Amino acid sequence: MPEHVTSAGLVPVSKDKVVWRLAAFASLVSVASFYYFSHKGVVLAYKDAISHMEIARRVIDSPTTGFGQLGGVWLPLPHLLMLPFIWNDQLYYAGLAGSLISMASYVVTSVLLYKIVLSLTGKRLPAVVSALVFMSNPGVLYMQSTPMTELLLFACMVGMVYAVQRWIQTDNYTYLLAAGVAAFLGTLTRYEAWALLLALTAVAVLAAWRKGYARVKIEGTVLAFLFVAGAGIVAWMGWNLLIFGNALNFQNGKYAKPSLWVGSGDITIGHWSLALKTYWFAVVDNISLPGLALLLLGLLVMLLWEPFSLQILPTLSLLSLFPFFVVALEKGQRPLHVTQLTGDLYNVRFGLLMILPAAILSGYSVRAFQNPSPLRGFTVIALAAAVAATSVPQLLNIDRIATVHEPLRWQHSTTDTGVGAANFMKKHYDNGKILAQFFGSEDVLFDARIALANNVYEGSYKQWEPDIAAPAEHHIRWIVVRYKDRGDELNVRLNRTKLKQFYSEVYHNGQFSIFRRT
Amino acid sequence: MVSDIKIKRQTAQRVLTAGQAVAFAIIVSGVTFGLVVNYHKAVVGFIASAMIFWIVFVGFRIVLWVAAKSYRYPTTRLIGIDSNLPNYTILVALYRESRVLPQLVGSISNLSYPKDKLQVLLLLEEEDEETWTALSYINLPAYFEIISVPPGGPKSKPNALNFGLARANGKYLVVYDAEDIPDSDQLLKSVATFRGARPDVVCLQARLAFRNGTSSWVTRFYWAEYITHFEWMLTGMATLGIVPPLGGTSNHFITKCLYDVAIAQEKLPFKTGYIGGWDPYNMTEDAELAAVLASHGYRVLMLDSTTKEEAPARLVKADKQRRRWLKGYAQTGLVYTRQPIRTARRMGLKNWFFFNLIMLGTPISLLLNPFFWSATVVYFATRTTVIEQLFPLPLYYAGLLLMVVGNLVLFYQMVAACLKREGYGSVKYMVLVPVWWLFASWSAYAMLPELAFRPHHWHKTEHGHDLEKEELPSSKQGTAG
Repeated sequence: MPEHVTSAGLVPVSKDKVVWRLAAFASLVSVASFYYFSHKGVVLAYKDAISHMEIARRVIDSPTTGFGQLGGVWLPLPHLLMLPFIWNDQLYYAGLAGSLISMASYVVTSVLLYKIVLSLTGKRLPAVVSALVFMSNPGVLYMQSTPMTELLLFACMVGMVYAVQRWIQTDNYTYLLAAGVAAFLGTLTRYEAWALLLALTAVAVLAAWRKGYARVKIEGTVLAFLFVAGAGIVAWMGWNLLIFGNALNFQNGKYAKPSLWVGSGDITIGHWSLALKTYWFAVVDNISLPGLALLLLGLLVMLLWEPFSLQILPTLSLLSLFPFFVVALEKGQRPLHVTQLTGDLYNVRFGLLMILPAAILSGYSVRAFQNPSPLRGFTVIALAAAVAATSVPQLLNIDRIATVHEPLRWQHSTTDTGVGAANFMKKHYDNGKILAQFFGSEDVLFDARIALANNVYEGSYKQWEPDIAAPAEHHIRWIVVRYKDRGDELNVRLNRTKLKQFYSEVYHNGQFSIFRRT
Repeated sequence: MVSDIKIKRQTAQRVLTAGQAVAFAIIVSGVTFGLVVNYHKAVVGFIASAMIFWIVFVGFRIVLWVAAKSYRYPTTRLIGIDSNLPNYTILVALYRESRVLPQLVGSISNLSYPKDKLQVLLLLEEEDEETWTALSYINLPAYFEIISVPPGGPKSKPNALNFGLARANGKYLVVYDAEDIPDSDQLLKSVATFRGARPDVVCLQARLAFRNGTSSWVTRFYWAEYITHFEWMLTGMATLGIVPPLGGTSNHFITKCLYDVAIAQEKLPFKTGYIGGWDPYNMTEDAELAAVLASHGYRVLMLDSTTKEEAPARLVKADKQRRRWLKGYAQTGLVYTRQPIRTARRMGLKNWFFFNLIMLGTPISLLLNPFFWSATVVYFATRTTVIEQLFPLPLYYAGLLLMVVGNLVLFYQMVAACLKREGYGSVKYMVLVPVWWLFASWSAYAMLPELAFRPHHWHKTEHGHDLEKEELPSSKQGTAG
């Protein structure tokens, strides 16, 4: 028997050398994937991908540099992590400054998924299957190649699950504090982590109670976890209070997500069945029907294998994100469109989150055929076939990947010709301050390769308001306006009569007007 | 093991030397001049200095916490009681300790060590009638001796210990406080550890823990703070090879080495029957002694054994104890910065720097805290540009980082301490940690005039007021009469 295998045939999690090999393999896949999607020209297909990098870049490259540029709507950790790379023009314009965070998160998530299943089953094969199901998902491969925040969220979430699971298994409180640290990071990455934190807190209470802890021990242990885990949320509220004078600015402020992004006519608002169907289709679009079938199969195996086990609770808590999204859609807190119901795609990547329980449960299902048997071989082959059948065609034709299809489809259908405005600016910009709202015009200055230090935008401290009121007096040379968009403050608030006195329109297309000081 | 180094050891009889007073005056004049010439730049400069100090101070504490994880107590094979065991002296300085005397006799009697090899010296101030009277009602075992400490010197614990040292006949010696309850095998562990250690190891510090950690919110904080100090700070320092400041009790020494490092007689208040192992003028003589040992090339190790103590249960009593500790730290830091180059050369630069960072940094950080907390609260409440202007961007971010990360880490340390020693009921009290830190700052400010005008006044910590219902060792001899 190898030294690293126990007498029961179980592999101790802490001494498993496969972890390093898996990490190396995941790194190779990650780099290859980035290269592939970069070659296809879709790394920055999402406008949000550029926005995330611009937020980080503005910390060091802005009329008012500093951490205040992180703003108060999107959570700050992804942008903070980009800072070591964002200063470099090549990394910035290639998207790599943000993608590197996603790529590192991809590797971490793969390894943690492996460790979760290894510590659940004590067997390597289910653990490897779990990691591979995640690693080979086309949507995951694409998102890990972009500066989007999904992969960082995944890494934090599986970190939370893994650490709580290990605490349940070992009773070692340091794991619970580690889970708190992962939650701290996760809650500063995406709001979905807040929901998972809630679910895992319930798991911690339930597990502590079932372990037979005395009331005072349950209270102390869970409080300690929450002190660490909840600090990110408290810090974020404190930041919003400090910058905007409103601790809940991220929820009800001028640029808060729900108020900006969810249309009042969204079909899911107030309709539970449509909300449920919408998220269901989003999940199917991302992890495919075979993937969903594997998730359900794994769930069945898990509930039959160890129905009353505490160690499965953290994994099951990931499934709570499904109802979380359904509720969020019904309440109008998250916008999500799927072609099956509305004929368009918007934020379909929300469904990708279910890849995490799908990966764990797929791997876990292999446990049902633990000992060498024709069935186990058959299962592994069936899994590989399912993965290949769904992944390979999508990877060969990336427009079939839902998360790629959404931005490409949007680019082809929209009348928003930011590209034209960017091309014009690239050609004619001759220095000087540019007054342009960030929200909605993110890609114009990025594509024009104009330094953000020249851009006065809604986050320019003590400059935005005075410059809108009197642009000429404040030496604004260029003004970029989305003249059809009521969400563009410049469109609403600029005094047109005064504008014509000092500026002339030098560019006009279906969406943008560009003015230059005469 | 005898050190070849002969060092002219200094005492804290004077708070400042002439050189230090001049340096202090130059600094004060410089700051005043700066405030007059350019108020804004002077304040920004002060804030920048404070930030740099905090980054180093808090960073050091975090590094120690991490380093402590890899600390391994010296492995010892516990020895049995046999005829080869050496004589062991126990020194206990008593002052108004009548309440805990039976418990003291009980806990020492419970120690697993041949009693014919034990010498217990109870050191009583001559005028302490209360304790003398109480002792007269107790049948002390034969290996207990009472030593009368005459008036004339500073009325401090180290002063009494020096009388004891002059009469100690043990190869090894340990200092206990009156209310201490050491693990019964502590002396055997100590002997075993000394025997297995390198020859330059002359001192072992046992862990201290409070047994009344749940009596009040004050003792809960004391309890958690002791865990962080003894289980992470000191062990972290030991891991990194930095001299750990000794705690006031349960320090085990090779007796001879205390003679080797003793203060010259001419600097001491008594000329005969008195060995200056401890600085009688220093309020944290234990911490100072650690630096002395390091200066002589000796090493201190942590002993894997616990002594239970009693924490002050009320804020007023805790305040006095804390003032004494802070005063002692300041005294020690000032002694070790009198001749910085020479002292650093003896101790090693790393030892010298980090030792003084703890000695001077602890009171300084407590003195600075209220300023910055007030500025934060005022800024959040008023958004005044006055504070904004005092924090240029780099300072603003450094301050923000320190406020969030630094305070959180120190807070989590307290929470982790509660979990480590299963004090689950104390976890929720830890949210009051800002109140506790404010209290510590109060003590630091109250300490300042004492340092200036009553530097050798020893605030007595009363014991025996918070004896828990748990069964404590009591004198097997019982009481007479």
